[in-house]
Amino acid sequence: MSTPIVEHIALELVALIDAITIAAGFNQDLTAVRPKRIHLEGDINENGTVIIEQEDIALAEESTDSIVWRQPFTLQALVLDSDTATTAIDTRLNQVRSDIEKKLMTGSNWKLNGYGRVMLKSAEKFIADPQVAGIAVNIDVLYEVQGDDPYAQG
Amino acid sequence: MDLRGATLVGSVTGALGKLSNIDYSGLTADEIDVTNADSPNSWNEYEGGFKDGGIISGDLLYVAATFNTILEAFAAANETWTLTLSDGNALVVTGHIRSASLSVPLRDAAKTPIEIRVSGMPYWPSSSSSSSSSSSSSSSS
Repeated sequence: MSTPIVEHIALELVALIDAITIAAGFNQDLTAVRPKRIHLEGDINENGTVIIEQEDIALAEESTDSIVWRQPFTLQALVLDSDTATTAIDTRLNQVRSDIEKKLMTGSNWKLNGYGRVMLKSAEKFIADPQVAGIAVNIDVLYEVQGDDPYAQG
Repeated sequence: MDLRGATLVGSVTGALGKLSNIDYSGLTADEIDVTNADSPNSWNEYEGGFKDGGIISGDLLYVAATFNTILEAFAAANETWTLTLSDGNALVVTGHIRSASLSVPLRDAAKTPIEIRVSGMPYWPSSSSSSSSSSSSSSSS
């Protein structure tokens, strides 16, 4: 079975997040996770985990031959609080957010290997549990498919 | 009815695909003011003069090859353009692409709006029988 274009996009995002490593010059190692069940993300408590969630999709433009979709993604990066931490939690959140934004937008990464276009939208700090903080980077991905085939690019 | 299934094809240029909007407007006639001192009850009077076939305006989602086709057809000789709607009816006109532009926003889909200037009489084949019957009745009278 072939892969829908939007699924290609999600996989591209996973690959980009996984490539954020100290060895590659970033501030920390990040690991992408796509929830396997609804609300499973609440059980994930590992520092450096980035939960990639798709939000409700919207039609951006429609033509006689193709459809342009605007697919929002939320990239929730977890930053665990630590008694031994010596840097401010906001500093760590700023670094995580900046690393994600840099990786997504640098070079031609924002084209997602030709499947779409990444557009940064917003970012918000969140506290999930007493010791789990994080930063959610909200992005839109604009992509085009054929009007009668979401498996084929428009 | 909506735009789905519609096509815009030039006899020389070929099909211009990815239509996201079509407007046909400007079908107008010159007015000849024939108001005179004997006009009944002092109402202005007019007669129709020369007619203008108007303009077909279209928005197309950007495709590099299509934009190149538009540039090559820009301001060229008149050709036959056929706008076929999803109900099978078609507007057939003679005209040329009189304007084209490229809109590339940062956060939206790129588009290439065009305008086709209609020259002469537009033709709506599905209504040809009624127009020909009216013209024959007027000539017989």
